[in-house]
Amino acid sequence: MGTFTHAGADRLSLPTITLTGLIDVPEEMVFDGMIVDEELAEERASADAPEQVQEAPNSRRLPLAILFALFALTVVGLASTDQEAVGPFGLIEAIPWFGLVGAFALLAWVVRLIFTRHFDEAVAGSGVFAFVVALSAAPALAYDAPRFSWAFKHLGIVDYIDRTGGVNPQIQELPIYHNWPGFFISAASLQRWFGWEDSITIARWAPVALNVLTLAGLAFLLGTLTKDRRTVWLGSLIFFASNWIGQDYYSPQAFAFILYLVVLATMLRFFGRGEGTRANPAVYLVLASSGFAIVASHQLTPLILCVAIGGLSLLRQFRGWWLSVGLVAMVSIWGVTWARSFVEANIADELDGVGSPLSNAGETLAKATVRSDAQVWVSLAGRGLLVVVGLLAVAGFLLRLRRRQNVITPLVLIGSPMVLLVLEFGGEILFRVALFMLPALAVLAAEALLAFGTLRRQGLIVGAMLLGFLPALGLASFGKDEFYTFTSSEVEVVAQLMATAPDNSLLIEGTRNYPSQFLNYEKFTYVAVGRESDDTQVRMDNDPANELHRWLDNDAYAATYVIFTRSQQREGQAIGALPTDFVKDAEAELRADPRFRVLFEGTNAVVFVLAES
Amino acid sequence: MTSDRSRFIAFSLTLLAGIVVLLHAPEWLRIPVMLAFAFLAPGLAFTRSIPELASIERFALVGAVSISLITAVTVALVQFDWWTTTSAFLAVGAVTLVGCLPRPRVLTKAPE
Repeated sequence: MGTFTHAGADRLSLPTITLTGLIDVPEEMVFDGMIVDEELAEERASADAPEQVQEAPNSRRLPLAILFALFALTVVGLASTDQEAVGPFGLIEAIPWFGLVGAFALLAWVVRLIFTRHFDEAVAGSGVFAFVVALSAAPALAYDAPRFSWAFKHLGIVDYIDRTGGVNPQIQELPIYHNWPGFFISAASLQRWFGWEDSITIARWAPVALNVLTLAGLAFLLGTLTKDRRTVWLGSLIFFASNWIGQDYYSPQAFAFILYLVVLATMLRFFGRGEGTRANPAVYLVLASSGFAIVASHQLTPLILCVAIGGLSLLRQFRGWWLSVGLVAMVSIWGVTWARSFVEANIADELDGVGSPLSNAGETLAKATVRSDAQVWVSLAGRGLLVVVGLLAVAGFLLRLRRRQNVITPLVLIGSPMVLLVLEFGGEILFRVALFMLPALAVLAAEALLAFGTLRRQGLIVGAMLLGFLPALGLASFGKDEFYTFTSSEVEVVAQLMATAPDNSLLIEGTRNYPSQFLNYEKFTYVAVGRESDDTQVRMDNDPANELHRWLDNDAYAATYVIFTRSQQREGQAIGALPTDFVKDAEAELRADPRFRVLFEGTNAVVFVLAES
Repeated sequence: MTSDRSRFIAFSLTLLAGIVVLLHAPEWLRIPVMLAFAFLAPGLAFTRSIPELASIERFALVGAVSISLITAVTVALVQFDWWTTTSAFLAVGAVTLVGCLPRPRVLTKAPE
């Protein structure tokens, strides 16, 4: 079953393969989405056949002991990092030499474990797991507080739920999170189960948990695209060694990405063509619960998932077109019930943005404008990694065509994230598209790397390539940490302000880049100088004391504050969100002006109020 | 991992988590137990009948189902204004225990 013999079908071309999914071909004639003959099926089977031999448990001890030693060296190195030594090139400058040696040696050893002649999946998988844990624990080990100001914004939503026991979809400030609150509600539950008053520690360590689950989902998905387990683990390693996109922090999108991988893998595994395993009720529960959690947590991931499973279904990569209908129904029901107010208020803007993919993509590149030389290198490193993986994936794709293997599934997985380009959703959209493409690109890249030469030669080439990836990954992932990380002093000053300010307060900030909005966030109206017009910024830069006095002297608010932090100043210098030394100069002027007084102060942050207030 | 062992672990974790919450156990005990409960117990209870999975695939499903069910249950509680620390734990624990109930055998292979 699953093959048929046809005189004209022995040399299939790409158009024939593509048409296969569209025309009404009897099920028994289709093998994994393609029409093939028995000879081709045999060729494919031999190409995919697992050549690995499982090692006896005793022979695992030495490789695992070396792995553990290198992992420990890397972790100790990261934990010894001095946050104050982080410079224009980010974390990589601050890690002690033995930590860097540990990281390179760890990666080299993982490659060795994947390319050993007697491949042992448990050992290779442990290696990739250790690399992923070390990589994702780096910020938590090196820094006092979670990275990224938007992680603190997410903490503010969890704080809101914790205080009020619910969400408010009509709220004025950050309404999108109240309309897709699934991640935040479960995060608030977890915080309370831990017995903690806030989730800052959870957010700090969240990348480790999120990346471990992502690795599991990724290996599951790649296992549906190839039967060769070595390719699965090499593809997973390539994914993590090139994924600098930075969506793995405490966020709904990181949560939804894990579920996206698992839903796709489950569909391909249990409803795929040529599989003997039937879905049982538990499989339907996996799809229903994961689908619901995605829909309730993030507004973009369901769209990509709908397009992906719709495309796979249309091209007959799995049975069950109704699965895509079910997901569309879930998205629609959520949009007209819980998220109704937000959808009604924003649908017109979204529809206006549809059809302008080039402007959306262009915005990403325009926003990448940088002021410092170091940030130019950071930017180049990230783009370079994606280009290399993309080129390898093209080679892998051509190889699949030559071998007459399934190209439709990876193509759909690569193509479906492009749906985001037609939406108006901020300037980082291209990178989010790249993240969703990366699993399929990584498996194609792995296949290309495993195609030629002996195993030893392949291992040397892959080892050299990935060791070259590591500095680029370090730059691209952690190269903005000089301004995207915060000290405990900054967090404490902001917490003091947020805990004591009355309702309806005005908070003037240099930029949004500081640990903001994580406590009582809805009490404030936020005005960031960095988001004001050029004219306003020039006026503010020329005479900050008078301008800020005018802004603060406002009876419409119960209280008014100005906050300046080191992270705001550094962001202004690095990427030009503000005039270069605005924060430093304005702070000096306010300290010297008797009309202002310092309300709270720490090593890296200060809050001013009007002296008479 | 066998279905019976998964059921036993899910049941034990739920029980242990209940004790830890009830007794306000110290942080060093509470956090690992609640982490294991949140990320493993519901998934182990409900995916135990899925056959023919590699370890990593099972781990992916267990993790995904666990966090998804917690999301679904707690979102429902918020929708009905019933969300508290205790109600969230009791509801997720109850759902997990339902998943631990014995169930009839299901045909898992396509007929020849």
